[in-house]
Amino acid sequence: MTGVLARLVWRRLQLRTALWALGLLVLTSAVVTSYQRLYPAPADRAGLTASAAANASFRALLGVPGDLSTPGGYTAWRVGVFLGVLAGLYGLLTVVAFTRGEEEAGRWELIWAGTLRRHAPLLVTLLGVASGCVVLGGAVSGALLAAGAGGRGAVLVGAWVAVVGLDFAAAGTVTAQLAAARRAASALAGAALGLAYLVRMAADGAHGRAWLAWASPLGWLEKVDAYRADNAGPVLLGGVVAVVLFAVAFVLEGNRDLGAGLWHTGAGPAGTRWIRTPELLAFRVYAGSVLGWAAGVAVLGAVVAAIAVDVGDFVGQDPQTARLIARFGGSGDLARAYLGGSFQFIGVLVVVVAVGGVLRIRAEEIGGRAEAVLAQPVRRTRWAAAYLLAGLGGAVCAAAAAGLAGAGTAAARPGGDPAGVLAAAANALPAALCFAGLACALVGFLPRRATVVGLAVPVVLFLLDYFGRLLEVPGAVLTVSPFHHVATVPAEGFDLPGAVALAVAGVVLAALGLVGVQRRDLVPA
Amino acid sequence: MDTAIAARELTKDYGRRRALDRLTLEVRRGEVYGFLGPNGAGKTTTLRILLDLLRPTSGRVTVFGLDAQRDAVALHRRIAYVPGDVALWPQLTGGQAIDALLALHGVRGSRRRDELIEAFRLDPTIRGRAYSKGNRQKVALVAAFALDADLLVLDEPTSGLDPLMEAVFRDCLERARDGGQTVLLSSHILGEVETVCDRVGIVREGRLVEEGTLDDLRHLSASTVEATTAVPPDLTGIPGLADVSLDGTRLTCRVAPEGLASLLAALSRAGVRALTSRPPSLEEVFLRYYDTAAS
Repeated sequence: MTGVLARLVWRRLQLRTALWALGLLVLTSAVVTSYQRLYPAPADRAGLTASAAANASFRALLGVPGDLSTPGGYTAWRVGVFLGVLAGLYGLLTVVAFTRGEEEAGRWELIWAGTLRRHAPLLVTLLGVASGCVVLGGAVSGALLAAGAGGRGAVLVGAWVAVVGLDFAAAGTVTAQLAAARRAASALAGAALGLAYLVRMAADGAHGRAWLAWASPLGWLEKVDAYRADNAGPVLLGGVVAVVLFAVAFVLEGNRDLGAGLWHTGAGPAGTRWIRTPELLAFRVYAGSVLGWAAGVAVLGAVVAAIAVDVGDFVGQDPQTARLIARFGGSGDLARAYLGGSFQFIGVLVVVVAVGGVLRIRAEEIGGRAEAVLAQPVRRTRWAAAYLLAGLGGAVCAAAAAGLAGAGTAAARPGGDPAGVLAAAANALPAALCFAGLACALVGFLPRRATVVGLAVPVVLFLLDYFGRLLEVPGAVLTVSPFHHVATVPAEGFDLPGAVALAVAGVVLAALGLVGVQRRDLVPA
Repeated sequence: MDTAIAARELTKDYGRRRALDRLTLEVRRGEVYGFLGPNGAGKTTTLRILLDLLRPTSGRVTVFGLDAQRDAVALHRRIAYVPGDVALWPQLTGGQAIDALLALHGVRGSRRRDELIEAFRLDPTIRGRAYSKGNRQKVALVAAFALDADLLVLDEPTSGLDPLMEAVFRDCLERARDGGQTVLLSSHILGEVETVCDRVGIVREGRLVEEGTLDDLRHLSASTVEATTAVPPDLTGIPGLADVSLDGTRLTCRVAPEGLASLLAALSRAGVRALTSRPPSLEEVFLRYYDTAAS
């Protein structure tokens, strides 16, 4: 029986893991192979090492550099933390979806009632995801080895990536015991990942706080110091942390009921006067997620705005750093370049908020709630459009939260650029409309694939564009990506024609999607 | 015009699987129509087409003269629906879900809602994810009965309810019928069907195989006859005889309506001394139709 369950978990893991591993592989390869081209001479490398270590904001952003005179050490510094974040996301999202998600969907009742030991499904899932994390780490190591950046360092970087994935998977098993809803459990574990990033940032952003990096799995990378010291200690520590977290989850799971979280959802109002239209219902359904996202991007916006001020202070002092930063966000004023580049990253989260609202159409269908609403005198198109509106409204809220938090931070510091921050935040909205429209079209015409494709397309296109210069993606491919038509505000001026094109595409796709929803059957799975 | 629901030649294909096969159904205004059939026969599919949640591959449904698909919104103003599998919003309380569903019908601050919550002993302050199956069912029932709809479409509405609540449900149903509401009730609970339904239709493999009052249906099924006679009876040539057990002069058998007269004649020729005849139970009636192998 446990064997059957393990096979089931592994079958569901395969494609998901392969795609994530492929992403990590491509990213690592691109960075490691670009090293020779970007820093051909020893003088370039020495200059890079000096400036990367000297600039506090730079360290805060990417971490304390290791040995940048080798392609492997450079890669670990340049994208290492980012790879760790991706592995952490893979771990927590997968574990929560396979445990709390299954339980919420009612598929665990039979398993718990059956002959299996109570903790078997959790253990089997964690072991499966752990093996998936090893695959992810292996992809990173493999990419480094294939590029000639071999040795102990390659193995340790990969092992660190795997361990970060495992730790956040274990954190996901804990949050899945606390919250009764999959989304809440994912958000909680995601917040832990965000906190880990902030702790590492705080540790690296100033001298004398290096000890703090031990407190964050994302800070352990610099403790590994790959291709120089090559310490295996942090990786082992990560393994211990995973075991401890899982033991906690194990105990928590033994103390709760099926379908319940340890945090009991209390009683609520006995009725409502204000949820009286499909739009208000969609708003109420999506509001919780929007709040979570808005809080997350507000923190990011504030951090980015604070760093931008430091980056600005640094201008002219060091041409090496200037060149380096320019590679992130284009040319011109460095603070603005950094702000623009970072807010493009926040922008993709704003896009995800918009798309997430649209995909609630599918969640309502799959959850069976659409049936109850559509049996009322409500037109299909209006019902679906309500979630489109909720998504777009949510995107505006998220952009406003990031913009206002960032602008507030910028205004409080001399040399800040609050107007630039606000413009950078608002810049994401046309792309949000475009991808919300795409998601709506998918919901209309490819309902069963809509959720995965609707989220994957913007994220992959963003990564292609964001790392496009590193990856040397052909220009013809890049022009297809809507993100390519988003200017790096405030480093560049707002691209009005591009924004109009995105908005028009979004509206057309959304209208098509609504027609599709109106014409098709309700698809409850 | 006393037809409430007219479904004509409804066919629904899911890929190569045919869920409905030219199903034709008529429900009269003001009647309680029991919609019966084994699992997977097409009952829920029919109800969903009626509510324009699914679109038929061919055929068409009109309700109160309105087209189920084209006039869906106008029609839904007159329909209350209890789905077979009630799903609630996990973050909304039961009371909020009821109010939201009623508000979509334009109903606000209904006294009937409060009465029903009371009658069904529903706690409206619990969040959707914490309700049991029975309580989710109550939420849907309250939201449906609180509407003064012309047509009630109920898909196995008592699943998950305890017997006490089933009784409350029956009261609601009787009140609906007395108020002139038309009811289309899909159910497996034969007692429920027997007490509340005016007519029943039996669907099997996507077709309506039988329709009529319960008495009509009873007459189509075999009665059980037990008799003791003076001499062994001669049973040759009696149509519709089944499960015959003849132990000398003691006979137990089942006989279809068309054979009953000949059987009685044969028994009286043999000098009948004791005779009991039992009409078919509802279970027997339905098993006859449900059992696919029988045809």
